[in-house]
Amino acid sequence: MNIIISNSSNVPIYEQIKEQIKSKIISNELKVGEMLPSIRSLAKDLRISVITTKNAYEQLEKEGYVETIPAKGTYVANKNVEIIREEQLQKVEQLIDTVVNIARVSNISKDEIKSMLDILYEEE
Amino acid sequence: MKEILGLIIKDCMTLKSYMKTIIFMIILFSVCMYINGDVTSFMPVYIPLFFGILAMSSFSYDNISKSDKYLHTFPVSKKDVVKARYLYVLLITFVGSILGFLLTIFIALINNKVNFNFESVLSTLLGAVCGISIFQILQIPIMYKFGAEKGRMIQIVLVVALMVIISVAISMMNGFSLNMLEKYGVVIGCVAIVLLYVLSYKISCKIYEKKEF
Amino acid sequence: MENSLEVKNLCKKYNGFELKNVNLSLPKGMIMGLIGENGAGKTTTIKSILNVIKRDSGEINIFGLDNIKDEKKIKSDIGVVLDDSFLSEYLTPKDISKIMKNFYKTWDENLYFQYIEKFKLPQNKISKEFSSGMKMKLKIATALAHKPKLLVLDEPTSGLDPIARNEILDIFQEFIQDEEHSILVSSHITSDLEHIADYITFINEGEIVFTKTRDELLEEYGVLKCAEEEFKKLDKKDYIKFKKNKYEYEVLVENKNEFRKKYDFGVIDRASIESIMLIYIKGEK
Repeated sequence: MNIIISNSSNVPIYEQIKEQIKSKIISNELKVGEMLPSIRSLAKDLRISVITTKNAYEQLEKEGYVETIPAKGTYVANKNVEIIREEQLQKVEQLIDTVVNIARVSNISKDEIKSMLDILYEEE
Repeated sequence: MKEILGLIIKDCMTLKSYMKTIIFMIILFSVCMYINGDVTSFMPVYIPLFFGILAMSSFSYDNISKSDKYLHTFPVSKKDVVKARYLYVLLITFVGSILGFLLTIFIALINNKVNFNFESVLSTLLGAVCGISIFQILQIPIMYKFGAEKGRMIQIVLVVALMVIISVAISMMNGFSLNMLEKYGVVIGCVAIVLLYVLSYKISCKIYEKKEF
Repeated sequence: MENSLEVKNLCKKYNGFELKNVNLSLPKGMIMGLIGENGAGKTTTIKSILNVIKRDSGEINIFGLDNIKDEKKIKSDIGVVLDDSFLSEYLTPKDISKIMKNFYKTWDENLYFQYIEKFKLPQNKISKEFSSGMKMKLKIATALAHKPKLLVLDEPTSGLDPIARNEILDIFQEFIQDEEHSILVSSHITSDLEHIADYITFINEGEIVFTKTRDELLEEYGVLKCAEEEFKKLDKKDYIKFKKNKYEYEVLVENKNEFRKKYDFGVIDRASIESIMLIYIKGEK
């Protein structure tokens, strides 16, 4: 598992960890029931403070992505992948809605938006 | 008790680095005595005296590496530190005395010129040990009070003064043997020195307890 | 969360210097970095905690016990590294083990030599011939070999090159893998602590300025750089301190996001511990 942290980014480090673990859960790279590294060993390997990793795990737990069993460890929670996907889909829909609204107001055509999307996907 | 042993081992091991000098000095003294042929007043005085002063170098070693501060982070009381130092100094002086005595006999045996008198060797040795004891009784609290740096300066003065006193005492004792000394005088002298050591130790403890590093 | 170290209202007059009402608490399993200028009181605080110097007033509890009443018991479980004080340099690492095992019942010879080997220190060479990085590693190996619960280190990284410093930070993080363990470490090299310390305590002129978690400090604090006219628009209560430079004002703010909501001029950078320290010490209100 890769977790890449930028010290110069404006995104707080615990946020960076949280987002990366989350995306790994959503993409199924981390499977349900899989154990995450302990707070302490993750802190050591990333060369960051224990409180930072603890923070990230706590937030993941709050959002239901992971589960902590005291004295055992932290596991990927049995949150329905379908539900997560649904949530993400909703987010995308909302954003596209905004895009469409702006496009209509500014007289930007559907094809132009499509080609923009094509370019963005190709870049990746 | 084990802490005190640890402290004594620490001082002994530090002395290891000084071994070459110690051996060189002992050989030098032996050669001097062999040539000189004066057994009774040289070897039994200078070997114990050399060791007695050598033992004081433990203060300088501690001072250089500022060990006292570090020692106080151990589960060891200040009293134990002082106690161990006294025991170490006595141990080294004792080793020096035995070595001085044995070397004197050895050199006397291989050098026929030497006019050897067992009792006068013993009485000279005893006199020397008394002198060294008085030096240590005074010097150890001084080391604690003024630190190794200033203490060493005072030590030089003290050693010279005591050397003068000892050589005067020895020249006065010339011709006397142990038998001629009052038996009780020796006993009283020994008891007095032991009591003075205890007093010196108590004073050092007081000084050391108050010290902050 | 249980604390392994607690200092309450510690006062100490010492060598023409004064500690004033120092308060600290270090939870188990955490690393606390004590930062401040040379002469700010870091070493005096550490020496008081270890009862190497006697406090004038206040309370110091280690593992829940008073540090004077239960001194011997506490000290068996503390490992200490002091900047300028150790056993004689005429001793070899091997000699040191022979000496130290008499002081600690829990001294683990195998563990000690494992560290010596890991740090690539020659066992039979006197430490006088070691580089300063090697000397520091020897001190750390010695402090760890009796398996302490609390590690107290005074300036362990000063005078070391970046590679040696990095190795030492590794040792610290390895040590706190055990949740019962904690570390108090003082340093004026703040970048070392910026990464690994869980709490940062800043001491200045014998007084604690603040204790914050690393995240609070680095994710929330910010340094605003702006022009004089812009600075004049600021409400005094919206910043901590400012420093007037030749071309700009540097202003330390407690929460850069909140600040941004209210003011939209200048640039705000994340504040490094160093810049926080600098503006606190040199800045004005």
